[in-house]
Amino acid sequence: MTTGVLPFRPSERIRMLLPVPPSARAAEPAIPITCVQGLGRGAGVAVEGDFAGFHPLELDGGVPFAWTDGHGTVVCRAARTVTLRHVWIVVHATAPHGASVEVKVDGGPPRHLARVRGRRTVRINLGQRVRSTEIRLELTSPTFVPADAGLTDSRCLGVAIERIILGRSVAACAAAAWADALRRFDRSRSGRGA
Amino acid sequence: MKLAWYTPYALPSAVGRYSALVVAELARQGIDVVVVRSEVPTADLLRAGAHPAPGPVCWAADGGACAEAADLVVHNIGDHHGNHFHSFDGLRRRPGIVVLHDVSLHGALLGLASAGGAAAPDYETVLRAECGDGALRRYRALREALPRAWWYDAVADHPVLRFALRDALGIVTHSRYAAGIVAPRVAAPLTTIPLAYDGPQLTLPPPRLATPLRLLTVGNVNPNKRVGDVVAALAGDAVLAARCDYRVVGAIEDAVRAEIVAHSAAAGLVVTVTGPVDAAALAAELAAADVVICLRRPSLEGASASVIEGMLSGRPVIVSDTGCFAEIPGALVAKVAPGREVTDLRRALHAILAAPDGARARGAAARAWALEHHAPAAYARRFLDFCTTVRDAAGLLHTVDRITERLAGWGVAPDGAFAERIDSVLAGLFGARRAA
Repeated sequence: MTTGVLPFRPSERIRMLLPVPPSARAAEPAIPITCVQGLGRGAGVAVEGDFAGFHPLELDGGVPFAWTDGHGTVVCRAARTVTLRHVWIVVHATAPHGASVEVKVDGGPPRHLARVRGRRTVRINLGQRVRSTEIRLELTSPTFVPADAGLTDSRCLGVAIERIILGRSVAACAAAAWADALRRFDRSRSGRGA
Repeated sequence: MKLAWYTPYALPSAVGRYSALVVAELARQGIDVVVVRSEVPTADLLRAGAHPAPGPVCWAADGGACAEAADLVVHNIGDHHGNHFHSFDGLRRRPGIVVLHDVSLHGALLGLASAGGAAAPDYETVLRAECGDGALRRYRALREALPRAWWYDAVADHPVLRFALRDALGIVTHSRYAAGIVAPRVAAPLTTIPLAYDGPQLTLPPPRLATPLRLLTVGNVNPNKRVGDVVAALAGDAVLAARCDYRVVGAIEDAVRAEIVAHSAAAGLVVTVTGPVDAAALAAELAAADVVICLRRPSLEGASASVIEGMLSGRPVIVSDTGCFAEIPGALVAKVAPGREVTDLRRALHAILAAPDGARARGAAARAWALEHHAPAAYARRFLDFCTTVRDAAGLLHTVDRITERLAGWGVAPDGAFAERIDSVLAGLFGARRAA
């Protein structure tokens, strides 16, 4: 059996070259992955995110995720000041041999984390409660190119991120993650997808 | 094959020095190479002199006549619009291979935008198109209040490349770090070849590594070279302050110079800032140095000529563990973690003082590695292999660009299954057959 290997992905080049009207660009989804909040009952805060260094959103069995290009930056913004202490990053996938993910929070020193392989939740304790309207996360990891293994995907990939969970406590993050999982389960049962 | 090599070629230019080494080696390997100078010619540039070339040299500003018969054009592109002006401009008119020297082209983009003219890009439009609304908001928030925070730090989070590289037939980077930034942003054949470079003087006596220990940083001294961190490391450590002196050699902004001088004088340190020097003076600085320090945060280069010069000098070298520097084997250089420059630097310097023989051996090993890893002959061979890849991919590239024109006419974007179908069909038509 043989496969055709290309030096770049044609559809990516087409997207790169296509002239996109400014109005269409503005309408592009700004949030390729979901920020989930565990900021306490009644917080009523809409958490939104800015993303840089991510490939477009993909679906895996209805679960949305996005690959970083090796240097992904996420800025989660709240509509008003919130207090948080824990950040959970749900890694959806990594290179087959795993990846070392380094996370910087608000431009601080890098937090060297354990090696991640496959789906796993990276839990970060900020050490002290932070009151802010936004938190900036920088995710750095080695990259791999699936085309090097004979696949047609010639993108340079870091790690795939599924969810960012922000919370005041471990229990709040766990509750938010659990509620999020239940919502997704309900949606998948009702056939609406994620 | 006849190559037209667009490049800055003035003597002070590191890209010019790299180009001179490579075109000489390509000529030795039987390639007919003409050098086309890409700079905007100025009186200073003409006074500076030029590197020697194995064949004709002409100026793109004068029409680049010597390049007309070339089979393939090569454009060296970096973050300086004046040095690379006619490559940014010429790539649209005559696509070719791009050798990318920096992973941040914000300075060049701003320069091109400021130069004006009908084809001049608009900085904010390009930033938004390539990096999104978040990057544009951040730029607007910083540009007046904290311009240095944008131009020397935040730009690293928002690389702009497509405006310059969209017409490239193929792209050469000099590190896997740079390739990792380019690959998701520009879809074209891409390869990584370690930068070909040599030092101003290849053979130096071993370093003394005795008190006073002379530390040296070379190159254009921008804030991301962390010279202030070196001063802080010495100032806060009585042993290092007493046993080290520090020399900063290269072009430097007045504000950075004033900051360094004031800080070091207050701490009673011996710190010398020379400003720009010629090759002979640089060789003398390297000969007199005991330790070469190459820090970066953030890392904005695709490769570093100064770290190669440092390794070729045989001196122990201290680098930041980031960007292209992280790819140097850890056994050959001492590495400091970004964000921990001061403490890690102190640790590295104390280690050199405590075990000079080990540091000397490490410097010698780094020199041997750099001589092989950055050799022009190997670079030229790999570059010619990539020319073959680019030639083989020309049909695919042309077909994809024709499909794009058609889709643009229809107002259709290839999403989801449509994109997969295009990739699959073109892989069947053009893909290299490889056993699965």
